[in-house]
Amino acid sequence: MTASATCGDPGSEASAVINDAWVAVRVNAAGCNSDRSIYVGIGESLLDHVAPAITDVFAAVGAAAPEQLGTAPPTASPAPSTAVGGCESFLPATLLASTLGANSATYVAEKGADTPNTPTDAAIPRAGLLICAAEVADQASVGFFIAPQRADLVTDQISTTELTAGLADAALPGALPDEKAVSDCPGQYTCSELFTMGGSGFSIIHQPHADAIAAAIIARAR
Amino acid sequence: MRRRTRSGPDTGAHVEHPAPAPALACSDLVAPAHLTSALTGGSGAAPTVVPAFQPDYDLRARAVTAAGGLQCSWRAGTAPADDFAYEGDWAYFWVDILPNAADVYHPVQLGDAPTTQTKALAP
Repeated sequence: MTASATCGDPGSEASAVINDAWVAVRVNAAGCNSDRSIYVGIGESLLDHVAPAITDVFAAVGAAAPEQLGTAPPTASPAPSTAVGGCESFLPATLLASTLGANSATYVAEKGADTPNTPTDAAIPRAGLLICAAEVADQASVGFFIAPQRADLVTDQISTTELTAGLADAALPGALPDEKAVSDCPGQYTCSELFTMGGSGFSIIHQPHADAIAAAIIARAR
Repeated sequence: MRRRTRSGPDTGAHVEHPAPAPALACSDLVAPAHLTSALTGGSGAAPTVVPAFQPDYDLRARAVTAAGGLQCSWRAGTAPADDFAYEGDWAYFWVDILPNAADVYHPVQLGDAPTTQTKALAP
């Protein structure tokens, strides 16, 4: 069995195609970048250290029947231009600009969308998720994410408490009673909003304007 | 496998078909001892390993699941307080499996470039 292997920042990862599935296995430890992780002193490479576990995963996937591996569709979509149009429909770039106090903003296609580096990259178009990246005049670029008609994804993410540790229930202006939001805004260093609206899910990480962008998306829809 | 009863005569009226194999689950992937050793650090002390995901506020965190794949993650150590924690004693072992993805696979090294480096892991 041979796998692509990488060791280093931010951890140790191996990937392979097995049974037509893209399998990625990674260790990520606190302090990896500063030589203060638990792995200091293991006396072998990190990849060698975790190889028995990685081998188990690859063997399990290899032994599975195709129907045991799930149902991801074999083709990718939509084209990046479609994603830009989707972003515009939820929050026109002019409205994004005014929310940020900028003179202009322009949505741009995500770089590298056709060469996914991870299973997550490859899954984004298959799941119909939108990456909304915008160049903003005289400001840092902005990125946020939309799961059109997949509010369930965000609901699941919010209810998986360890995924959203550090976020608290939030009330976004204009939100309906059955819509959910969690946030750490206004944080000293970060500002994140993860919320549902009208059957869709959204995540915005932007200091200091994530909550303002979220409110603009809701106001636009109502 | 369905349990058969031995208490009555087999009339042949019910033909038993094998149930379809259940979907692969996180608990099928790694021997617990290997999970523990993978998350054992330089101290050599075996940690308590729990199923847990690293905090991630980006909805892309669930993209593989949303696309019909399987995502699994286990943690040793104290859970980080938020998604930008980078110090502590925690370590995660995580697995992403995206089916039907051979056509889009890129072997990646250190984040952005395809790599030709490979490593043999098992016979």
